[in-house]
Amino acid sequence: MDANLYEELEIDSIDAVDLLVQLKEVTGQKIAPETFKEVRSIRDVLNAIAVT
Amino acid sequence: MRLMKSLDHAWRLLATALGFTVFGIGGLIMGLLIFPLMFVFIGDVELRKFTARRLVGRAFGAFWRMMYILRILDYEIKGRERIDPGRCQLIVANHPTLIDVVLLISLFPRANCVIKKAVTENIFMRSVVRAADYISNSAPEELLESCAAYLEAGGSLILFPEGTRSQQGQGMNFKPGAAAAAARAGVEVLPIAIECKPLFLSKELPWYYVPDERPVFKVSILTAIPAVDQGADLSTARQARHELNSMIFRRICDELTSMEFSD
Repeated sequence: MDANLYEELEIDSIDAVDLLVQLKEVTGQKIAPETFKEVRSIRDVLNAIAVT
Repeated sequence: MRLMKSLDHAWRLLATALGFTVFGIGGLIMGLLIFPLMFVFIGDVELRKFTARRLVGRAFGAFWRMMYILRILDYEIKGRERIDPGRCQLIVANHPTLIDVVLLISLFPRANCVIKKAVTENIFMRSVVRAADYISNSAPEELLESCAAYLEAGGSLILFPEGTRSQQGQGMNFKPGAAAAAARAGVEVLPIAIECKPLFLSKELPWYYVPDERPVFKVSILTAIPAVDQGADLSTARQARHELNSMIFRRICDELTSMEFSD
């Protein structure tokens, strides 16, 4: 859960944008790109969805 | 001998200052006179853009020749025969110096080019950037989209995947966006390796730093990397662009290494 997306899971900036689009499709919620920039771990992703 | 050397050095410093002045004045003349005239006499937007790019290409070519004639630099270009303006491709190069883009635009005058935001706002350059309709890197979220869309529509695009001029002493690093744009649009990639020795107009050096020996630019246009099929889902697309990125990177690195050994 605390794995760092960018360092441990090798997510790059393009993946991050793809992930953002996918999350929007799956959850129907729109996460602001500004919020997403703060995201570092899987837990942060879940929190970002929970907040919106 | 010593005297000749310091005279040569002083001359190149003076000529470099002159070069910057000519470049700035050229940009202003284009922006204040030529592009407004084109706006009046060429009604068609596409034709105007095309004419502007052709003009910028010629002007940059002339500027490069001027730097050569003034003995500011020497250069050699390998692989000119690989230039084919009819092809739709992503043109990528490493970025050692400030003036790489001048040469690339003169070699590929029809192509669009991704330009740093600061340059698009620069008083000498902004009207040139606007008239030729070059893409600014100001909105990173949309940059990939606009590059891919431009390529898909059949245009060619010049891009420096390092994102800025090379950092000395750090390994070269390509950002993933360039390969992603080519993979998404399904176009081929034309890699170009650029070496400048001794280093001149690099990121760390001030413009007035002129090396003791005249800088030599070696530019090598490599064979194009065929378009990749990125598949239907995200994971194949991810793999396709990763492979493409490392292939572009490796080709350019290998060429730079072989240039190193041929000196």
